[in-house]
Amino acid sequence: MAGRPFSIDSVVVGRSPRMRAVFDFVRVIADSESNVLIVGETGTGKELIANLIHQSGRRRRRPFVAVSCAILTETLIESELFGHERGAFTGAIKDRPGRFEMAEGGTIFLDDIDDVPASVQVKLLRVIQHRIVERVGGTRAIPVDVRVITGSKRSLKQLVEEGKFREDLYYRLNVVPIWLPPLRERREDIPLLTDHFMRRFFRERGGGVPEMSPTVREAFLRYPWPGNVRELENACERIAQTCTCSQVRCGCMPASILFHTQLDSPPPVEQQTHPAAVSLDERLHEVESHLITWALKVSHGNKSKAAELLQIKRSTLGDRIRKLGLENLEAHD
Amino acid sequence: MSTPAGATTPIDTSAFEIRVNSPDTEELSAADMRRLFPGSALTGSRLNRLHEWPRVSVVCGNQIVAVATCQKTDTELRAADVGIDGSCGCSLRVVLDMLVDALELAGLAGGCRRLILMPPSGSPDLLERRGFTAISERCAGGWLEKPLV
Repeated sequence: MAGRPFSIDSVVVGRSPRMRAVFDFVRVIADSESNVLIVGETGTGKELIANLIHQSGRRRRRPFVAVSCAILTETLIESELFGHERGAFTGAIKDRPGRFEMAEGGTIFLDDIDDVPASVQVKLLRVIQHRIVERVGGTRAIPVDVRVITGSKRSLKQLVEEGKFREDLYYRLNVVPIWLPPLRERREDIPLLTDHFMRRFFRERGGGVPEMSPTVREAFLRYPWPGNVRELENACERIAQTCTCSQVRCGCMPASILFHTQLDSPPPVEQQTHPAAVSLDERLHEVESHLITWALKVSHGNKSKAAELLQIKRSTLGDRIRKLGLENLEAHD
Repeated sequence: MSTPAGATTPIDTSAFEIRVNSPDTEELSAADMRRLFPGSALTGSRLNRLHEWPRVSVVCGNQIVAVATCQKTDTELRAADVGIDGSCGCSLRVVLDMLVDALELAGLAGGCRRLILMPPSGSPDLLERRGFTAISERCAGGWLEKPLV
């Protein structure tokens, strides 16, 4: 899965016209049987909207099965979606139904449909057209009654033009398109969502909800939120876990937001009437992690270049990466 | 109950239902198509679009009283075929409003910046009152547009 899913109420919070239109449209299409394509950047709530469509429609008492096509390898995806028969391949020790069969009578949400390999696109087209699946290694056609909702982070139309996505499948999936705007394009929802998440996480912690300083609110509004609502939710959760102040101040913000604020303008000065304890070591680690992440990113994982950018020796950079546990990041870049 | 002079009577729209369909899920019958696009309005290319494109429909009881085929590009929603059943006894204004409300909603939810449509006969005045204007681009024919913001 791409990340921890957030609750329905968190996305339903929003007063921007585009989001209101999405919620109203979900009500209109809920009872329809048409395929729905939800396009939006990571963290905008595609799975949540898919779930909302399912919960609002006549299939609500039947299963909602969500599959991220991005985490499955080409060989696994076919068996995962369509199931397999015993002996179909090494390790297939018993018959196993696929996700389409598991969703019988309900809805299947195929997220990251833009990552589905061409060989599986053909098979998906067949399932969507004829509503039958054939397990890997099987010969029996199994009828399925499933509503198909797909999610994509990229424009499928563009992938069609680049020859990376089948045109016929695109037209089958793109019957009812929904576009989820990134958070930076609906900034009016940021304060609303922030208050919503802060209330939730501080209540879960069992305490009162502290005020946010105007500087923090401003920083939240200006930050581009590349991870969208999910990133905002994580930021609020982190503040609720670590902040013990009577007011949420700059020092309580996650390093990425703090760092962005400081790039934009000089470090904000806050009136601290009630000084509270802040772990200097913890904050320094955050800033150090953030800077190393940034340097590795802009140098495309080249440690010598990253060390040069940070004005430290390459060996020192290696030590810090190990100390801060950033080896995974290094591998990805 | 009397209505004050100049006030409009609120219209009960609960009898209508909006449906968004693909050709896979529900076919439009030949009789429906003839009713919605009478006479020469049912051209060959229109027939193809009605068979193959997604549609937004307004349904009253069990009868489709209005339909629009939809095609979405990255920035706009196009409704090339808008048909309204003039014989159903429903008010043209109410049915058209229901259909255009649904199209605008679909456009906004789909991230479109404008809705363009080919108006059915008798509707351009009503559409102008809803903010539609004639497209000024070259070769626009009778198409109307409305920005979605």
